[in-house]
Amino acid sequence: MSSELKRILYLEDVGPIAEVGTMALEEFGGFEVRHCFSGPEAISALEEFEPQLCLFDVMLPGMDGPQTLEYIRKSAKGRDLPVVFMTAKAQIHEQEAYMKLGALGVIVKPFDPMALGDTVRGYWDTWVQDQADGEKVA
Amino acid sequence: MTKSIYQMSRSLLAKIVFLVCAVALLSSITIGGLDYTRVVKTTMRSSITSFATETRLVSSQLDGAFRDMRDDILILSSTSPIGGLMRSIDAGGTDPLDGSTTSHWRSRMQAIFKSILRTKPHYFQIRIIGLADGGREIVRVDRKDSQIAAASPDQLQKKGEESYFKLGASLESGATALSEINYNREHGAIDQSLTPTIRIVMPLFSPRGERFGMIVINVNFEQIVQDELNRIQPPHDVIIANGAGDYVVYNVNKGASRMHLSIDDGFVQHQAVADAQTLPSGSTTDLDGTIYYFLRADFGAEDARKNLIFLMYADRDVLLADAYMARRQSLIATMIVVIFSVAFALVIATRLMRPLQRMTREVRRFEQGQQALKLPITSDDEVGELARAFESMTKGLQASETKIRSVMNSVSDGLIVIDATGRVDIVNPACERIFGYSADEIVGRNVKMLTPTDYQGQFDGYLKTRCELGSNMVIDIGREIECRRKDGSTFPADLSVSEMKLGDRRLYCGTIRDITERKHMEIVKNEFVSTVNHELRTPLTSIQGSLGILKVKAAGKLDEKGERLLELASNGAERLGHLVNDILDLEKIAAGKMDYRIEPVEIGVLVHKVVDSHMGIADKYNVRFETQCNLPETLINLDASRFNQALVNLLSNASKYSPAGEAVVIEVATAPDGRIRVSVTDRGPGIPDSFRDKIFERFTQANSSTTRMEGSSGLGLNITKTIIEAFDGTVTFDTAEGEGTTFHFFLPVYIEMQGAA
Repeated sequence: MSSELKRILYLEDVGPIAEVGTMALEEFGGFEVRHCFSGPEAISALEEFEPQLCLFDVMLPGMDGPQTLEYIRKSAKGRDLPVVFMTAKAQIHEQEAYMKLGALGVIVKPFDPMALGDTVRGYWDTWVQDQADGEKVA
Repeated sequence: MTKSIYQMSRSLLAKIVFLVCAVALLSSITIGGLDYTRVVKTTMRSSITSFATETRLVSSQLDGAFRDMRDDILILSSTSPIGGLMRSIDAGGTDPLDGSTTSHWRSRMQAIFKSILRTKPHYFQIRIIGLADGGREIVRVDRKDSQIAAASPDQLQKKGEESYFKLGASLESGATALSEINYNREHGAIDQSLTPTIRIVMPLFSPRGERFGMIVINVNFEQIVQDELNRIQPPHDVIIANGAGDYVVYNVNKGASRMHLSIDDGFVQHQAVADAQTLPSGSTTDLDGTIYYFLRADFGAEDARKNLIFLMYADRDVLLADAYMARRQSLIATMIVVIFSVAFALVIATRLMRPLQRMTREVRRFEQGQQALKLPITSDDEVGELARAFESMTKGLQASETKIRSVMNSVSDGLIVIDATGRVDIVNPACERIFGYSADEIVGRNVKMLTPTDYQGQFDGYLKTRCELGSNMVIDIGREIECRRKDGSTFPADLSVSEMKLGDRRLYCGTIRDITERKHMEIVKNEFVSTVNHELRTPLTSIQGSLGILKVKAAGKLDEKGERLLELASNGAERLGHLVNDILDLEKIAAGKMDYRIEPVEIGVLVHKVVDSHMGIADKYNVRFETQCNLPETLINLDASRFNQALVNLLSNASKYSPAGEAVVIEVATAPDGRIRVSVTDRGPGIPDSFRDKIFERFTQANSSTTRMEGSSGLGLNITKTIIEAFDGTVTFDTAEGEGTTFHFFLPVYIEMQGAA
């Protein structure tokens, strides 16, 4: 696993937000972004895109972010994949719930597009460090 | 029940009867006693008076007898034979005056003496005794056994040794004297007849004035006294005694006794006579139940022994016979009065008791649930008063009970009263409605039945600990519990419990409110807030995101106006974003549900972290953040992310208001009062006076025109203050117009305590 983050699987159902997010990540973050509108789409994209990190919106019609993650965890590629959640649910107890699912972090909407990339990279770096230290993020 | 009413009225009855009895008895005895005393006094007085009268009568009669004796001897002394005898004896046998012989004169004297004796039955001897020849009798006439005989000359005796002779020889001319009483002696020996004799003597003097001799009359004293007594017949017993102790007793039935002379053998002095010697005349004594009235008669004798004492006496009981009878009658009357009174009282009191008994019965019946209370309210007396008072009281109680009951019935919350064991005492209709049971199904059973089975163990514990908290009146307010209806369904309820003391019972009153609806509303509201929040954020994300990127992409490619427009749009979006955040917080604060995770946090590290991670703000407003922290490791109890929020608020305000290029100083230090001070200082325009009071209120800003555009919602300081105060801290500020502003957080240092949150 390379220690530099390059490929991000971005799951977001709201179009405008997806555009802004993708733009922010690609142009200002310098990442390679694969955007999906829905959980199933993300699952199938997982196989061929092979992302290093998943950035999942939480509130999705049908299969929501956490459910998608749960599904992904069952596959070989998805089992150890780090994930960052993005949500408009700004209440702390809600955020904590997502952390419990094994996310590296929770980004609250609305987000600063200029900072999005740095934030994600920050989570990634920490995770890499933790992996190196032999501790898994609980 | 009848028996107990009877018992009650009986005791009151008994009291009344006893009272009447006592009064009757007391008054009867008092009146009777007074009457008796009066009668006794009156009787005694009249007895004494009659005693006095009678004794005076006896005394005066005896006095008469003595006067007669005196008169007789005086008459005798003036008869001619007296002179003749004196002359003839003096002349040797023949009277020189008329030539009569001594024996002639003697026989004439004897004739006179005889005639007197004949008229005076109690005289039994009259003599003339001469001084010569040892006091030889000159003439003597005796009465013996009713025969009057003159003594012959050879029978004449010498009486010179007799005390009466000596008495007579000492008297002056014209005087008379009485001798003592003794028995008559003839020829030196006491006369067999034992006649108590008193003698009256009178001296005889010759014409020349020489003492010649005396006249002596012997009187049967006993006879005189007895005759007088028997003639007068005093109504009571009398003792006549003299100073020597000689006495005669007159008994009303038996008549006069013999005279007891002190010279008799075996003479026993009469006690009363002895006592009477010392008492003043006219006094009364009481001796062993006998009343004695005592009169001393002074017959002018020079010898006190010759004074006579009259004692009239009678048994006290005899005297007071009338009084005793009166007393007896009075006692009988008393008893009759008492018996009648008791009977009367019984009748009347029983009659009086009846309304009371009736009232008691009525009250008992009423107590057992009957509605109507028939009381004797029309009575005029105290029973009527009681009945009326009772009635008004019961009416009042009924009214108040009705009022309370209707309150309890109309209240929409459930009211349950239980005792310390959980047994249900009272439930109101609202409870029935809430739980679906009827009151009968709940009352008397344990309140546990209203909670779900798995909750019931908890409930026991709750009851035990909570209800043993002692004298706290309110035990719990607004506690949320699970309840179970009759149909088994459960529902959340709001419970408040307070303690009641009813006499010596401890009861607990609980208010139950079904909060299913409220909880539902809460959920709905939460969902609404959550949804709204989410919905607002979604477009906001697009707006802010797009603008953010646009600003970068369009940098330099737009003219001034274009860039300005972009700026405005971006700020607007930012402000909207803050507003959405703040509104969420506000809603939480308003609902009291601002959740804080409070724990001890090292303040210096936290402040540095917050400042460092928000350098973006400094960059944005072209200012510098300078942090000064000289504290040693210090812990403060707070919620780190909320503190973050509060501090960021200060930082962004300070950055906004600072002129470009200036520094915003963040200082962490110890305050004089021991708290920790976190201060944020800017070199901005300062806060105007007009605004200082309102700065922490919602939606207020210093200068609406210039600063409203700066992207703040006006809620920040309000929320900041709430947050810091939630940490037990305070927020203050110092400002000087034109120089700058400093905001301070004062926070208490965390002290590790046992069980601190």
